[in-house]
Amino acid sequence: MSRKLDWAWRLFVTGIAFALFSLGGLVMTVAYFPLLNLIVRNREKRASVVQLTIHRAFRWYIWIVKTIGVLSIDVENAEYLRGLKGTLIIANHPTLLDTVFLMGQMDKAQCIVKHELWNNFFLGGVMRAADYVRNDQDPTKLIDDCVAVLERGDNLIIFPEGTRTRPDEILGKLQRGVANVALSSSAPILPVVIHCNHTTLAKGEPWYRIPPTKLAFKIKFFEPRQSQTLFILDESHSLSTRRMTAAIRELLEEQIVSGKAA
Amino acid sequence: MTREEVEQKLHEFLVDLFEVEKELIKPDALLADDLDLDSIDAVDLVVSFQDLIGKRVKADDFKNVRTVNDIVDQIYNVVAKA
Repeated sequence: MSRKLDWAWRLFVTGIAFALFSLGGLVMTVAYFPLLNLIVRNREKRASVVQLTIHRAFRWYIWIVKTIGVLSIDVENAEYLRGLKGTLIIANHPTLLDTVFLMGQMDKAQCIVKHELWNNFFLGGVMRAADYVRNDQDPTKLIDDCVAVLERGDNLIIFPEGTRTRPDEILGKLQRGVANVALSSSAPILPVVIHCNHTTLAKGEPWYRIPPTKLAFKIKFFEPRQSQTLFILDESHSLSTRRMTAAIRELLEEQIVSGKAA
Repeated sequence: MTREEVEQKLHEFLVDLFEVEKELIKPDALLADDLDLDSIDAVDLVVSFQDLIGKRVKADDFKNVRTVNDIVDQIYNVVAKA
């Protein structure tokens, strides 16, 4: 009986968690951001206010879903984030909430957002106001935009897989965009490994198909390193991006595997 | 440069600069799906050809390029336009 009760409670709070997220986005889009547009006229300043708001909103959100019992989350080595600037944050992407967790941990972080979200009813206004990097631009422009973010001193979160990790894989195929950004900037790389005990929240799972036990997340940050130390630069750009992508894969894979064993 | 020479040079680039396996390179091979090239690779490839033939290759002409054969056609177009 108590198992059933536990399941029913988690289904209920999971529903609340999903609703809260969409509603939060909508309220920001229809009320908070239009107001902010009137008060803060400078676009760059506004974007940084919005990013800080999102960071705080995500922090609260995580606190709420933890408190009502949707999930637990264990963060390791968060001290690497203190005073972090102009750093490329690379992570695996097992769940829907990865971005929320990472942005909730960092107050100055940008991310690349798929262009579909720009026109999303709930979240579109948030994306536009925060001035995040859009992924449907001309590829060289996308790389340049990322480099500009880093050089401005903001941190940039990239999931090199470009999409969520499939449940049956350790790490999906890596896109070479990250390597391109790292090669074109001198930004250090900070690896993050995210682990979740269930494959719910993976791509294509409806929200109400909740796992048999409570969701437990582990997020581990690693010491930032200079990208040049990871691989041997080749004189050809295309080969360098391949070397670097392989090095990034090795770096993440190693940590994911050792984290699983622990 | 003849069309065959363009084709041969392309094969060389693909193998040497993009680590494509030789056996995969066929005229109708899809650049993204079969040869694992991305859009930045396409830019790099155009630059390599530009350096080789000493003429500007418009990136716009490569917007609709999908196969190995398409590249050969586009590059040969530029080469043949004296």
